[in-house]
Amino acid sequence: MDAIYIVSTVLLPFLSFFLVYLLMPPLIKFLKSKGKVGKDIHKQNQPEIADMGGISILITLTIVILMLYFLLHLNYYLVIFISGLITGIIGLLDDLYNLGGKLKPALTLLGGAPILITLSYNPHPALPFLPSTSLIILYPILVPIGIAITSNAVNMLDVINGATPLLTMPIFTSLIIVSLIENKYNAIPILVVILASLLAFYFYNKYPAKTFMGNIGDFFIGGLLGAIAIVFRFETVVLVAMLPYIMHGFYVLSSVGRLFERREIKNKPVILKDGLLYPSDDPKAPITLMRLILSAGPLQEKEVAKVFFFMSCISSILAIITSFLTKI
Amino acid sequence: MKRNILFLLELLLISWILFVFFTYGIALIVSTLAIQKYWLYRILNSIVGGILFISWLLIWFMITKRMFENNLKKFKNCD
Repeated sequence: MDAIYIVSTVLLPFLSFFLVYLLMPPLIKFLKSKGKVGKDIHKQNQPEIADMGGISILITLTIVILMLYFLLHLNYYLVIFISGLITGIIGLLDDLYNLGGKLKPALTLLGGAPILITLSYNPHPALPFLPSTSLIILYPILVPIGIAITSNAVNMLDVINGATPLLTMPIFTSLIIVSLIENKYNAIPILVVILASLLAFYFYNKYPAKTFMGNIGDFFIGGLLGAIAIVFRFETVVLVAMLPYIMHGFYVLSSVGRLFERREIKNKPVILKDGLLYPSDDPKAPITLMRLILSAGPLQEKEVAKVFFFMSCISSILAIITSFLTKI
Repeated sequence: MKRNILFLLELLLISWILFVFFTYGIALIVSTLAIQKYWLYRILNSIVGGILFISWLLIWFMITKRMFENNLKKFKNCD
């Protein structure tokens, strides 16, 4: 391994961490002064919290991923970044203008364009017990759908303080482990810088949150995750690691029966009573992952965050096991 | 919290097992699309793959919905 690779894998994550960490306090002040706040609905007094804190991750990763690209000269990094940037911009537009439940997922399909244009995909993904498949016809159709699914899924499950960092950090960690196992060393630098930025953001997003990620952050992280899965051929690993997201999206869509915006839901799936979150017994309320978790007993918000993290850790371990199954 | 975690673990494992086995079946059928000489075979394979995919989703949804409803019932009785 050459020196530049080691420097980029070791030093740039520190830069990524500290940039997000230092950017957050002035950004929170700025967002509050501009009135970009959201109500923290799972607290008794519903305080107003700075929204769109994910801007710090977008700014930081723009700088750090471009540095990675100039240091390592890997075009893949640029493709992944542009895919994430497209979905991030759609998230920003949704934060500012509310794009609606149908236009937003449709627009995120555009995130697949850089991958399709540069042909940065391999239509022979490895699946459990099938080391190589031939999806020449289907794969290019699945690329934009994959980006749309990952970006919207990350956004849909950002329902409590710290949800996105707690759910995505184990996924990125499992991808680093699989990269090491499968000798995909080129994937590691970009994964580590994203992980470092999420860790720094977690300090401001954890219970009780000082800022929310906002659609901009959720869509950006989801878009990056989808693009990494396609470009570095981690499709199966990401699919399994994202099981909590897939479960949530599937339950919600099948119980509501259509694409919708979170604000449209009148029958709330979860009820706050004496500091505890209870599942709603309203048959019209959508089945969400949180309602499913709470059906086993009421919990405090920070306990739900812990369960989310535990769930993501388990699905990430299952993803690593699945990566072994693709070699059989 | 232990009960919640155990319930989730059960859900995750069921979902993973269903995913692994159905993906294998679906991929096996769909990956033959490009190498089929005749379009009729391609269409037939697509239909079989599609049916497998829908049945996977249905089985998954029915199992988890039942688990959720049972839990909710138990929870109401405890209340």
